[in-house]
Amino acid sequence: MLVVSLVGVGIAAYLTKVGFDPERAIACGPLGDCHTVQSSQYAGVAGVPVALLGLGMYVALVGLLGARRWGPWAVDPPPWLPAAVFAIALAGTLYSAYLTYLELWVIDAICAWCVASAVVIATVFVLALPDARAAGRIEDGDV
Amino acid sequence: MTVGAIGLALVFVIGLIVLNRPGASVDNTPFEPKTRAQVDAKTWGDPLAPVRIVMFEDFQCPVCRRFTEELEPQLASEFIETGRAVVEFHHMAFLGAESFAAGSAAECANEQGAFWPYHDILFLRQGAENSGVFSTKNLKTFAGQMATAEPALPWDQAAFEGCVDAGQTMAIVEQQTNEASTAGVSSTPSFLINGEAIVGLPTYDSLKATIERAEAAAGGAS
Repeated sequence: MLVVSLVGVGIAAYLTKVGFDPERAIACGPLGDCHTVQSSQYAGVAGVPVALLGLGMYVALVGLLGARRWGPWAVDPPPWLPAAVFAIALAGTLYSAYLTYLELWVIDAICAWCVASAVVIATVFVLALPDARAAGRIEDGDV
Repeated sequence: MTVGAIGLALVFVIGLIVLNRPGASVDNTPFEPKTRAQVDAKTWGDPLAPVRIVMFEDFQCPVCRRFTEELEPQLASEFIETGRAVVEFHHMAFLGAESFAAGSAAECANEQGAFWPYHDILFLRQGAENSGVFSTKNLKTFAGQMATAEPALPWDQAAFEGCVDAGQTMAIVEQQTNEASTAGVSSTPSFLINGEAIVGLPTYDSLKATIERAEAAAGGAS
């Protein structure tokens, strides 16, 4: 999960840099039209670039997961940690799905990097499920 | 705790979606026509200017709108009105059906010599892509608003609406879009400044540098 989240940081950081530097041509590869997507009105929410929101999400995940692996929570992680990771991944997955819908049916263009980010956060979500379920059982007193 | 976290996540996502949803609401900011000298159809400026800026735009393109609002006034005062550059508009309608509809309506305005004010009001009224903002009804309404804001403009609203309904100007938009695609234009705004390409929204400084470079080359060649 941590490694996958780090990949997400890389993708979101690149998209964020592009968002603040519109002259830079986005390297999209042979698929998609990143420029159209990144210059659409849906590339920002209340003035904040979506890529920056994504970067914040991935940094939060890396922070939480890193603290659990190496940091102060390696020995005794707080009980809310699995739920927090799961909730962030759930929010990211749902919003990425919405953004993908916008690309396909509203903007009429696909940003390959954005799709890659959607795949990454969906992967984190799937990986976070078992811990979240286990935490839920502990809360319910089943364990 | 997990249920609470899921609830928070859902509330957050719903909030983001509400803030960033497609909508058909039209920007009703009052239209203030610009003063443009030396306009000829879709060309603006001295036709003998040393620098020709071919401008590829889609009326649904928000970055094109930003160019019109943020860079065009300075470009006009420094280069167009001083005879140093001439701008030539070309359609590059690639953002969906309403791009073609708006372009086609702009060609109908062009038939009455009102391309540029209609171009301006289209960008002013621009909304979510293919959401109904550039419906036939709205395109006709915008033309009426344009004519009201510019009473000195000779304008026949009935003729414009007939032109829009006939749809024959669509062929111009399609042809220019195909020509642009063939020439390698794939996004908007794109510019050809005496043949040198700029893709996307440039900073004013980089646009100015490109124009001055072209101007110097044209002056050296003549």
